[in-house]
Amino acid sequence: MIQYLPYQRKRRTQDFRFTTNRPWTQEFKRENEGLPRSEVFIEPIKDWSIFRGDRVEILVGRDKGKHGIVSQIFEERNWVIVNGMNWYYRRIGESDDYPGTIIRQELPLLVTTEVSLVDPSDNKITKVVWRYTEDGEKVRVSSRTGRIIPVPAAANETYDYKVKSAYLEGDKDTKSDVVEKVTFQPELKTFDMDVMKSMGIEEDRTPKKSYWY
Amino acid sequence: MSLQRMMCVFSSRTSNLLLTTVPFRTIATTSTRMGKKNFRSIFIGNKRGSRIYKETRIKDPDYISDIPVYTDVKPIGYRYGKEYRVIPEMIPDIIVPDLTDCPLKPYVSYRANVAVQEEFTAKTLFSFVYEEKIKKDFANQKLDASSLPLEPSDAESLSSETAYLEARKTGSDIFSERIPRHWECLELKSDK
Repeated sequence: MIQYLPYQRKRRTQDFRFTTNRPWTQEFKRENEGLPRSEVFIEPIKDWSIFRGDRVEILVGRDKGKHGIVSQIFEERNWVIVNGMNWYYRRIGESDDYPGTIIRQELPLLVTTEVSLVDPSDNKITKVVWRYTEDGEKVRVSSRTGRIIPVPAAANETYDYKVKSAYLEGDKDTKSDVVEKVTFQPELKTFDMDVMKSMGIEEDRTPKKSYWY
Repeated sequence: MSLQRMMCVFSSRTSNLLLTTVPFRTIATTSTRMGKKNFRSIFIGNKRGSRIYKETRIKDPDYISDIPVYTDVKPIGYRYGKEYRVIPEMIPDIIVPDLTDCPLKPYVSYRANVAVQEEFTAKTLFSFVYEEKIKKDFANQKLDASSLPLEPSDAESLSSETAYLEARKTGSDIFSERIPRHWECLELKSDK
């Protein structure tokens, strides 16, 4: 029998190669246009411990032993980009007559093997575990010294705000005090009865008894 | 049957594997065209498409009126045999309140501390309406032997029959008779 529809295989996550370009960008689309590449195996991490703004030490490469601040995280590949570290030169805007501008581009580093958190008490590398404080707050604790390494404020930063309290409310945003106000008053009324009451509709007639057969 | 058509059939039997569609013409023996139109030249839309797309299609000069463009598929009546009977109550009456100076907006500010409230059940409603009075009556010994109040409030003196009638007074049509299906409406026209 002739198949009139072309065979369309669903795109699975293995068919995508995640890169430093975010999945909604044109560069990502270009990178994933052709035939699917071989699958990249990543170590599943149970408790992700490195966040944006953390001070980390680089363990491999040219910048081995140096400390840097994490600027970007790619959880799909277990990557971290440390600001100003592990870079390489590349040209952008190159054309036939223009040689292009040389810039420095940071390469991602693996969270598991190539980077390690730094204990603020002695500025040395440490492994980190998640523990609960007496207040019930989940915190990172250095397994060597026991010092709490707080999650940096930059980790809670978004496109909309740096700190939640500093968010500027727009025209279409309901103000926070309006949202937090509790205005619900429970009454012994059905939804229809409540609507009638709010609209001021009064009904004296009583409906006749109806039967189902 | 025309000769061309016969030839097409013969060719299709011999060359089954190729399955080429050979166009042919026929002579219609009835006076009407029997709905034959060259649909290849006409773009027939379906129910899909956004409202804007459908509205522009209606305004299109090539729009064919016998292929309607539906923007709202909810019924406003029922089919009785061949005719369609419109029920005015089924026509949706959208009541939008006046939203000027309304403090509620489509989005919620990030600054708001959204607390998780407990589930509002029948039990919570009961406790909200009756709890205080019951506690006060118990403290002042205003409850009789079977724990019923001696001085019932309005809510406590409400019986189930009265509550049922009060709820039906709204005129909500969810308790009304159901709309008859078309096969229930068709009368048998045996000897007429």
